[in-house]
Amino acid sequence: MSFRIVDSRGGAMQALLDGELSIYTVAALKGDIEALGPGPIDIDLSGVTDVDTAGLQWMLMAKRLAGRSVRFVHHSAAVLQMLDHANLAGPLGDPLVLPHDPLER
Amino acid sequence: MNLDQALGTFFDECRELLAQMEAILLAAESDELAPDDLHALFRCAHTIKGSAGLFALDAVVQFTHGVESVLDRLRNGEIAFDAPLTALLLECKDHIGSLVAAPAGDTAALAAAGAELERRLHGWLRPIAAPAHAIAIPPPDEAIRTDGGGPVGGADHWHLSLRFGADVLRNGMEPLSFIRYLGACGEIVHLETLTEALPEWTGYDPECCYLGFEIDLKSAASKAEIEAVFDFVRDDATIRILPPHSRIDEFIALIEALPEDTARLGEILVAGGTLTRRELDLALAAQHTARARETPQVDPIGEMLIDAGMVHAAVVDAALGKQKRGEERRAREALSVKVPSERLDRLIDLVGELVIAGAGTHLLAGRAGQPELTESAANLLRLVEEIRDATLKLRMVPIGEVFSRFPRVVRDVARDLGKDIELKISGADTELDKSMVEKIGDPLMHLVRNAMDHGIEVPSVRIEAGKPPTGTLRLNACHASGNIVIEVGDDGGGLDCDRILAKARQRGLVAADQNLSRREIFHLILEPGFSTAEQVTNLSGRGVGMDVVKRSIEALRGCLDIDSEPGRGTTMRICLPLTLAIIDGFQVALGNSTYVIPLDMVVECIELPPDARADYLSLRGEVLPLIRLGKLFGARRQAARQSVVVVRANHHKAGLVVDGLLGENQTVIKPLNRLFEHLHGISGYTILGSGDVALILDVPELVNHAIALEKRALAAP
Repeated sequence: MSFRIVDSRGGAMQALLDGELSIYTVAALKGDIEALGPGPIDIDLSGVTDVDTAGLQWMLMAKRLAGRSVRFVHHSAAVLQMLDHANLAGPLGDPLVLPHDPLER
Repeated sequence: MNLDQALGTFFDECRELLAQMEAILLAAESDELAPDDLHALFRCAHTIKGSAGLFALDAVVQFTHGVESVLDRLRNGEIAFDAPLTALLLECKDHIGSLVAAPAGDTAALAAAGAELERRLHGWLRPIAAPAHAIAIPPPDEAIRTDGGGPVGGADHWHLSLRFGADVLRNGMEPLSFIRYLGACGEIVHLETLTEALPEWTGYDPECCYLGFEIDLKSAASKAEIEAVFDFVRDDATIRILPPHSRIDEFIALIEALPEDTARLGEILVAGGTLTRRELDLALAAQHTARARETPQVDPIGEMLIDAGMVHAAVVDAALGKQKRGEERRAREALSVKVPSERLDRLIDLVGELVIAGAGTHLLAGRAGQPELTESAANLLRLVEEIRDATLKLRMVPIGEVFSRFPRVVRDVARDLGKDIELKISGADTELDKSMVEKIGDPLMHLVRNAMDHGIEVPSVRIEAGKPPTGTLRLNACHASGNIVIEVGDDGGGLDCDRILAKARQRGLVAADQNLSRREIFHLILEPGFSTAEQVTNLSGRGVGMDVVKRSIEALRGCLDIDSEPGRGTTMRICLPLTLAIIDGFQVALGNSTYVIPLDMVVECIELPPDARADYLSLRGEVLPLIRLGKLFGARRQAARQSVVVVRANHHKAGLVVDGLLGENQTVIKPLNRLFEHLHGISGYTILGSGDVALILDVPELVNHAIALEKRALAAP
């Protein structure tokens, strides 16, 4: 797992989250997000390989972090699947880009 | 959690469950099964399916699911046990066993066998016009009925409320994977994740679980099956399951019982289609009225369900029974710890070394002549002895573990042979060393097959001989003077002395003019390649085996004894030492060396009378054959006075003439190098406290030797 700021110029801070978002990494991630300065932040989830319940909780909690507006962007397939499974896309409220599904047509 | 380790546990569990299934199915052949057994049978299959699902062993899950469906019908009394069904289920149980054992192995053949079994199972799943009794789910039309308790919910799916405990994540459970697995039971119509319990950021512990789930599930599964999905987290979670067509009352009870805001839950129920908006409003109104009326008495949920006619009483009983048994099992698990056997072996090795080192200290303390030191050393030695006994007990397991595989074998073999055989097992709780349990299985299996094939006659012959048509095979175990005795007995035709002797003479094993006792004749069947069977069957009769049995028993330092009466039956008696590692020994001196005799076999010690003959003496009027060990081992005689150690083995006594008696000590048995395997009269060696090596005498062999000498002396004119 890695959590790093890729761009802090301009409007929202851009952060990139890679690897596992799970019970094994949430404790570290809690610290990571606390360590950041104030202000809005976009967290790119395109590199997330694995999400579990603890990971979902972390996403929900990050949203509630006072004094900061956290937005999740570029959800990876693993994240999308889990959000769908737990029916949490609504509560989190981030716009999702759904993968193209040829069967839908 | 380490997956390999978990998988190992799964295999162990499967073995136990399959053994349990087998035992119940075998019982079903003779008796009507109690409802408890039917439930247990179902639960076994279900647990295997569930655990296999966790490890993604799809073949196991799929096949077991079919079996489970049939078991479910049996459990509900829709179909009844009969012989073909029992046989089919036994085959299915075997198939599950092979699927579990070889998940990645030769799948093509297994799949073919599985498909065939599934086809046959399918025959038992056909709908039956009039189900016998016990319908868990009321017919839909009942859902319209109202009787003052309020309106009735119309949705035909289950509603599950799951609240996981704070520690589930830390305990390695993943709530969402349980929910995903729930998908195997049916279709998740609607799922809502409850986030109300999430704390403020400052109080947030990332490894705690705060989420709850409300699920609507469309499923034909029973409540027990749905419940069983959550078996692993039951202790860590609050799980409420409402059946389809539940009454509004129950939803109210649910809503009230849960910590979240009532309105929010109501909305979820509406969203999932469990309740309509109107019903919700009615329910909330009814709730207020009920509160206003203030009824203090609250029925337990089970009774309420029965009263409401929602669930058959039997179903609730079953659920309660299941819960109770689950608790009992957990209690049992808590009482025992699984330890890898190599750790135990290492401990026993260390205790062995400790015994030797302790003996050395004791010896030195004795030499130093300080009373305090001697006393302390003696104390230490006593404790070491206790540790030794306790450690060896760790490895003791009941022989029932070995015996338990025989009911099936006897059933199958008896059927193949067209014989009627009843197996009687006694002394299954007799304990012996774990390593021995593993090694005794095959020889025992051979003896059992032999007894069934050659011993017990076909029913017609038995009736002619005036015996009951059903033959009896006895398996018995007991402790006797530091040994464990395992008997395989049958009430068949017995061994034919004349035929064995004729065959032995024909094969040149016995000289034409040699006289043999009955016992010696019986022992001829243990010679390699000896078979008197007229017909070679696929079970036995090829003359391989009995010699292998004898050798494997001897490798365990045991002996095989045969007792037979013509027309009455044969008993094979295996006598094994209790443990292979450490024994109480009796040290004797011969010349400059020390030898050890297993203390269990020592009867008494006497002084050698000066007038004793070379090869026997009269012990209180009894003839006692003497073995002059000094002569046998070529030791130079040192002492003027000699002693006789009277030993007993194989129901015979003999006297061992030695130069001196050195007393009792603990002996750690070390096996002899292969170079010395052919040595007669020696079974191993040990290291004494002084660091010297002492050889351990193989008493049974020495006694046999003495008897043979005596016979020869008697035969000579």
